[in-house]
Amino acid sequence: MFYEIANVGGLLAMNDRVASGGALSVFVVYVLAVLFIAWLSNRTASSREFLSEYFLGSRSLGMWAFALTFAATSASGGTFIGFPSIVYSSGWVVALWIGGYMIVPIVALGLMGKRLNHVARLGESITLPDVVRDRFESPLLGTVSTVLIVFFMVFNLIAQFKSGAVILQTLLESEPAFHAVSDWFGAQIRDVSLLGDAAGKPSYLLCLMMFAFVVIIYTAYGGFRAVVWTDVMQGLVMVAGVLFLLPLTIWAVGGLDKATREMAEMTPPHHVRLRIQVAQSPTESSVVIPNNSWLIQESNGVRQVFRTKLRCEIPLGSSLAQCLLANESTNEIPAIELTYDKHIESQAATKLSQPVHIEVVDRVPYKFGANQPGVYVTAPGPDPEKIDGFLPINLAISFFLMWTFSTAGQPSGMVRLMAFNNTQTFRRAIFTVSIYFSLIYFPIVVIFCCARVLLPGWETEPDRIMPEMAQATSTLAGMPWLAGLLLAAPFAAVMSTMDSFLLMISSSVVRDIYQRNFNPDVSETNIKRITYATTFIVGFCGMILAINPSRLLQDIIIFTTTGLSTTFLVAVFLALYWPRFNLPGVLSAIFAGFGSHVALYLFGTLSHPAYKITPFEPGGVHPFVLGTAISLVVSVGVTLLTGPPPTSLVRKYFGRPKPHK
Amino acid sequence: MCGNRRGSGRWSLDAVIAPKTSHPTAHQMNFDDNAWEYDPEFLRARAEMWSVLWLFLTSMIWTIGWSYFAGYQKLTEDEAKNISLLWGMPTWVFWGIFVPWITIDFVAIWFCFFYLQDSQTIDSEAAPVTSHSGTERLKASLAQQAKD
Repeated sequence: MFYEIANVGGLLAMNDRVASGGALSVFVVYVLAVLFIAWLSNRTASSREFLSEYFLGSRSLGMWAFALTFAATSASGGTFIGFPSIVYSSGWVVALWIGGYMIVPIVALGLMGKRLNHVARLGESITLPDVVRDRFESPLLGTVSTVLIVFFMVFNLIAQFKSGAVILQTLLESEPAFHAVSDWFGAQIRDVSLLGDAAGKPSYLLCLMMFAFVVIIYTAYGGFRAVVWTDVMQGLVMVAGVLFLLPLTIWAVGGLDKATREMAEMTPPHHVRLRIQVAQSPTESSVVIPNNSWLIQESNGVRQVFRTKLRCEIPLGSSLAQCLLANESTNEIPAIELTYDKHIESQAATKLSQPVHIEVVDRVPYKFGANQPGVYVTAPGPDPEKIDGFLPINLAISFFLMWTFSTAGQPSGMVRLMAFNNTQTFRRAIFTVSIYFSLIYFPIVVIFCCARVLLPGWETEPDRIMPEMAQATSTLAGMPWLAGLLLAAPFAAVMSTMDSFLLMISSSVVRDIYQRNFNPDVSETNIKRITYATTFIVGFCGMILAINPSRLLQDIIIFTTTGLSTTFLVAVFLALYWPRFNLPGVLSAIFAGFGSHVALYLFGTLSHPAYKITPFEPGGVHPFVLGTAISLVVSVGVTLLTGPPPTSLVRKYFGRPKPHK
Repeated sequence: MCGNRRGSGRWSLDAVIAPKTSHPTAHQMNFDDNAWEYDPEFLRARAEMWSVLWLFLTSMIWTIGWSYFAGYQKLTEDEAKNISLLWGMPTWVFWGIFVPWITIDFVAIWFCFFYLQDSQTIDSEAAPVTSHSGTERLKASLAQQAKD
């Protein structure tokens, strides 16, 4: 899933309540397991041809390995944080938003899988640039592909390092032992000027180093096989988390039927700004109103229920609450106001040390769906900002196309398609991934629709809904250990995505740049040393760049995630299936895909009032869909206008000798 | 590449297009180096690719079409109170997303186990490489490319 964690702070809430020691145990068991897997992989690898084993597992992936590595790599942290928050905020329409995933396994694996594996075997190719380079016998093409893959992957790698470190930080934050080590570490690095702002964030830095250490070690030491086996473990953790949560949630809410009927009557909250006052200024200590506090006011028989978005405080000598908003102090506290009668009547207020008086300074209803019952069970779904709702029909089509084909165009997925061992494995894997995605995505929609009924008012911080639900349901069921398992799911998702990126970059450097261009005769021992060193150095550089990640990183990641698919989907697809496709055609497919993707983002960013990195989406069409269409039209046009490819190449990849009659 | 494979019997095993009974074995085949035809494995893979695209199109038309006509609606307060559900879902979600999703899982059974055909090239090379031959072959192929 290609959107990233916007706010992993939600995990903090969950971790606060996971029994002390539980989080640390989850982490330690996890690390030991992945290191064991890496050791096992390295032992298996010792008898095999090194590069093919290290980067492709000797093309010997069995069914479970192939299916789960494909599924786990495509699920990132966003699957467990961002996606649930969207379901919670918009209701049943999100089933349509994610609906494309029903056909993703058949398209992403079936569209090119068999042919790509076949062609990679014909050309003895190990990496994706290998495939296109051999297919067109063009070193230039190999180099262009390598540079573009490394360009996109490096941004992703840094972002994944950051996400992993933040998740680990929230996981360990409540551990006293971690605090002691972090304080000691903070004292050691306080004066290290090279670290910049990071010197003031020792716990982030410590977690970054631990996370990077584990991932770099197991990826560098174990190679592709270790990455795949850890993906299998991580994939199982993810599906287990969802499958525990689903029945618990339906049981807790009293049946899905009941939950949906209640959703049908709900109306979206208003976003408000409040002036919160006390009758008497505090004299001994300030009054603190934590974020997500429920404030209730009744006047003239009308009950109003508010929930604060930020922590605010009424300082000594003052009667007005203030909070920090974008680094500035303000008396207008952002909050939401409930509009659904049943929740208004049943909600209890958060206990404060003094009663408060509330005045609504500003009230902003949803642009679509305000005061409209049924909006959570129909399309296009409520939206606070867009007047045509969350998912107008053109966006629904666009997302259906985008999920399906952008997954098919990811180079990390294509590498896996080159690695399965036989067609039997391939067939079973498509079926397994179909079932796997059905067990993950649709149940998440059901779970977080129910969450609207169980836990109202999280529009204040929707990213926290996953940990809150995990906590609420596991407490209800009397199984607190379950919260630990559910906490491991997003961590597993980040790890399984980033180890693949690390290996992709390393294989590009060793195979596509060094061996192909500089030293084809390199010995087995040397290539082994160089590969280990490169994986280690690439990982280490990623970690260094994640120490002080740019604030733009989160925005850049949106740009890079579908960029790879836009650049490579048409090029690889036509290379596999169109004998007439030639070198100018494939180059134009790559450059048109890449160019249109960059142009759409550049135009969108320049048109944004605050120059935020956003794509230009004419008619609501996703940039991936538009970029891919442009890439297809341009490459077909260029191919037909230029000469046919050499017969020897067509014969090698599409033909067989003709027997005499 | 083709020449190297002549003796391996690989071509002889493929009977995707030609009827099995009339397909010659490797020893019976008499190849002409300059004459070639489309590999039946490629033709079969291309046909399967088209099937994938048709499946995609069908699922998209079903899902988007059904949801568009049944899901995009504004409910009155009474309609919202008496909404019709199936298995706890709004009916448009049930018929427009849940049913096609489950159907595709069943279609996947047919697609994977009854429709997709084996590839001789992939299956005959299934055994993992156990020597350094991969590097050797790569070197040879690079040398050949340089010569060409």
